[in-house]
Amino acid sequence: MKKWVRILGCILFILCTSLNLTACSPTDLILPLIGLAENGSPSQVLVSQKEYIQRLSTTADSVQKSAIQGLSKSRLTPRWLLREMVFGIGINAQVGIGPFKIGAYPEIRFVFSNTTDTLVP
Amino acid sequence: MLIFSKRRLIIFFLIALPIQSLAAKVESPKIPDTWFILPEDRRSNQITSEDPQSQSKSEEGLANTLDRLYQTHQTAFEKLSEPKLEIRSGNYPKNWSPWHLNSIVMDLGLTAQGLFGLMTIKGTPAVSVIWRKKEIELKTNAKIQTLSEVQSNESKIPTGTISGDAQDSSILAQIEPIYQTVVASGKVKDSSRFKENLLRTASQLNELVQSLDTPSDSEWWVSGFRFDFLVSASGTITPIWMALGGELRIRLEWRRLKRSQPHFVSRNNSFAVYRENLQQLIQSMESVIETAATQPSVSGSLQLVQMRVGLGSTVEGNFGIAKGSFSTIGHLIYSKDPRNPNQTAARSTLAKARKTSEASYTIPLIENNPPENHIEFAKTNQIQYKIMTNSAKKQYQQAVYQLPKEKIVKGLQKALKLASFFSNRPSNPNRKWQIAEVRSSFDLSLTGSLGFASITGTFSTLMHFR
Repeated sequence: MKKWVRILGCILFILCTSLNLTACSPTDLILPLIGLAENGSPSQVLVSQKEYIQRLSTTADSVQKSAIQGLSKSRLTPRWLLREMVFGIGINAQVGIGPFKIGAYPEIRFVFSNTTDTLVP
Repeated sequence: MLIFSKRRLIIFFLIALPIQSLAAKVESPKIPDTWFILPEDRRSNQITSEDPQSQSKSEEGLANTLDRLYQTHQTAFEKLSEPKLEIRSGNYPKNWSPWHLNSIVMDLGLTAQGLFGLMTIKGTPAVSVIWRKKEIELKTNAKIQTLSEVQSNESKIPTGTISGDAQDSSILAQIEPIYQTVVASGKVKDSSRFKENLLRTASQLNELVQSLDTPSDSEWWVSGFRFDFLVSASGTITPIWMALGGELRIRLEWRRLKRSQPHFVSRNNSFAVYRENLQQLIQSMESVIETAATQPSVSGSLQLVQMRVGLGSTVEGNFGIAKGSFSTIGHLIYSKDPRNPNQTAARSTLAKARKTSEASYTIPLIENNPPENHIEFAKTNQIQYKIMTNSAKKQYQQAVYQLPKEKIVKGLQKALKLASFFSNRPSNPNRKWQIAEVRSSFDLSLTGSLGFASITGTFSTLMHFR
């Protein structure tokens, strides 16, 4: 009887905590993303704010450094001058059951320019 | 022993239930139905009123989620390092600056159920948020871009930009880049026929656009026109909504310049009817936008500076506002510019122009292949409409609804309020990165109301805040 009570109690405890909508801890904030569900229709995915910030800032920083380094080497030609370059970066999580579920691949566009009159596409 | 087991159970519940209740609070709110479901698309055909209590609750939850989304990105961008900017010597243009990260764009989308979030798939964004460093924004804000335009996210569309004073002789040179791009794609087999059709289309539209006389003392004026077309493999050019599949999409744009001289009068009288009709539409929308944009509810740190309105054409050749992108042949781009280019030349003809536009109480809304429920809705709610069928090989049905101007003004005011919900959020002023621009996409209802475009939906109106 004692053994069954313990088992029942553990199951109840696990069920209650695993019924979170996300795999986040209760104190971790969530972010809504619009991705693709398994049936192919758009649906909302909730991800960890903390992990998203970490991934976005890391990816964005490396893209910024390499883009500016590469663009600064472009030469001025008599007829054409490159004025803007748009990079789309994607942040994904593929390892384990992570916070980013299938179909969630946040994309942010970076606009680099060498003009004060930039038009954002 | 039994008492000790009961105690353990009680302890487990005491720990588990609070955690579960905390988890239950972590949920994402929905956008209120009235923000994105148009009246004619709701299940009941009757126009329903909003439920203030439930809407207020939705808005509060929505505001918290949105603020969290913005704060997350602001925090992430603050962590970007300051790259070393290379300064080089040479013969560079006046507006040149070292290569730098100018803006970061994120798109927010809306599902059919009203759930919103950062988009991770292709589709129509309901709201695009553009981030920029404060120091960069201060430099770019110093000059009002009178020729600025709002480009769509579909930057892959080959676009030919024609200047506002282009003459026939210069059209060919100005469309050459788009011709070369299309031929290089390999999708058009008869390139000479395509060139001939492209030149004829561009010349005709150029004559129509240039002959428009739109004097106005309003802050809002049509700063640009955009027309989208499809090019088939045989080089034929057709309106975009007549897609069969496999065609290449091209775009022709006109940017209007300041004009201190009297307007150019078309030598082609066959354009006279189209010109007057388009002019009337332009002036009607001008007064509608100005009335809607001056309401106190649109005040805030970001202001409406541009509006792109979908342009449709009836089978009889008349112009109106397009409902959804499937009815759109192009766009009118209205900009706000205190330095109105036509102001000095306009006043004497303004009174006459205003009388003409005020006489038209309604603005036509054009919908190609209208669904049955839209027609039923129009009948039930006594909305004046007319069904037409074209006589071309590929037949299609078209509904033209007549929308009273004051209803469109109310719809725009509502849309401005909705858009400002996303554009004017409290932010940390000590952060380097701030929201500099917001663009919101809407579709127009038969009642004159506007609703956010969903991720799989279409839009006809785009508002640009800065």
